[in-house]
Amino acid sequence: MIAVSLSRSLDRLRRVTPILSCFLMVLLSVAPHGLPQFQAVSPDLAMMTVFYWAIYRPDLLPNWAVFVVGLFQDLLGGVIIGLNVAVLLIVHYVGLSQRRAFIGKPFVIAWVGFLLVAIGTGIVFWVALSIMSGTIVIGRAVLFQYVLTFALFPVMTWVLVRVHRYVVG
Amino acid sequence: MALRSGPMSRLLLPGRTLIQRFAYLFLLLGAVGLMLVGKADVVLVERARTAVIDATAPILDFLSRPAAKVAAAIEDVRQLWDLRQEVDRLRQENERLLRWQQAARQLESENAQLRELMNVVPEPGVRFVTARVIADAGGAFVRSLLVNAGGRDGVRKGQIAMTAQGMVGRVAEVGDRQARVLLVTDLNSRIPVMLESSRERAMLSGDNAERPRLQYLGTNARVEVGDRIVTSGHGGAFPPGLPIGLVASASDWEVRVQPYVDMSRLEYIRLVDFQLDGILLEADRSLARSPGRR
Repeated sequence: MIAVSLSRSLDRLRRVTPILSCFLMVLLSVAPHGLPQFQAVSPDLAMMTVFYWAIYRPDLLPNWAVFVVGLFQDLLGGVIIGLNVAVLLIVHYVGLSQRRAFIGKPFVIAWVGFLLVAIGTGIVFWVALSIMSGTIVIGRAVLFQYVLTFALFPVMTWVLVRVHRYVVG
Repeated sequence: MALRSGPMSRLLLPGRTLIQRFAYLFLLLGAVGLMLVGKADVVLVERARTAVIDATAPILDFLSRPAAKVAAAIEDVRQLWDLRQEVDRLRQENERLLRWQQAARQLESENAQLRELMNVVPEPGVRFVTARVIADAGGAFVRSLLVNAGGRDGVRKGQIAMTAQGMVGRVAEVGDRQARVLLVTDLNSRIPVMLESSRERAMLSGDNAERPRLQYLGTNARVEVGDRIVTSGHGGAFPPGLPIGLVASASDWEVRVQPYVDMSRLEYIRLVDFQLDGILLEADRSLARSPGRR
């Protein structure tokens, strides 16, 4: 009996791992790393995570969970409430609707796909923020942030593939 | 990196896709609604933020410890390279500072005597709390920090965040166990300042760049690179004379200030209560005064 209930709760834990990983990435992205000059360009870890799960296990990361993750990121990060929600939803939608193009293909294709998504959402983010704050927010830091996010995508994928294989199963 | 595809081919059935699309549309509209609500009801958003950050403060605190350790280790290795130079530099600086100390002592006693002669009203007492930075939130769009001291430690909205080098920013939101500090480089930061030597007034306004801009300088004001910028105390939100930075570049159309404090490497900051509440609204003021409430 105990073994059954234990395996059941382990299974449940497995199934929420993608959602938990998104929350963890949001927390990690605001943790201070103390690297000089890098504070302004912290990569968007949650975006990569959402993109990954949207492609490879969308059944474990439903869009309402993405909504909650985005809201959490907005409340924690201090940017306009709802902006990250919209951005993550777009990322999730693109990942999910184009997943056929990525699954089973070389990793480079997913990477390029992610680049396109990142560029699109970056523009959405920048325009929305400029409208909401009433000034043109300077773009260099934004650009660096997305370049870094793009560059770290393989690293993140490497980690998530391990999580996917050994934890989620 | 080929991956097993899970059991979700059912997601791609046309009927489900349609429902999924509607769900996205619905959620996206929700996001837009949130943006509008956030713009309209600032107080509500601030409450929600404070609640979320309060709840996650212990986790952030935990996460920030190894980060600080790693940063310190990197710094250690870097410093080993130029230890000798550093010692020389510090020795010289120490000598110079000792001379300054002497000068300051003399001035202090002279100042005290003069104050006594002039019967100057004493400035209100200054209290401060030292807090650890547990998150630098915002990324490329916002310049703010979370610190691990909040309302229960005596932190109030409007208090000044400082380090030994100079001003960092101002407390913008206060939770129970944490507070958010808006840095002087943030897009929303406006600080009345003056040039220390010429007493020329200006407004230091952040634009998320590393060096905030100096605005509304007088037309005949002469600014030179290296001029010290201090708070002017106008508006009653900041006490006069707090050091902020040096003029880093001055051209006809733009003057930029390099803050004394390196905002990317803050670990501990002091939140100082100068007992000023010039910028707070009437409602905030009553909140700021009654401790224990948010």
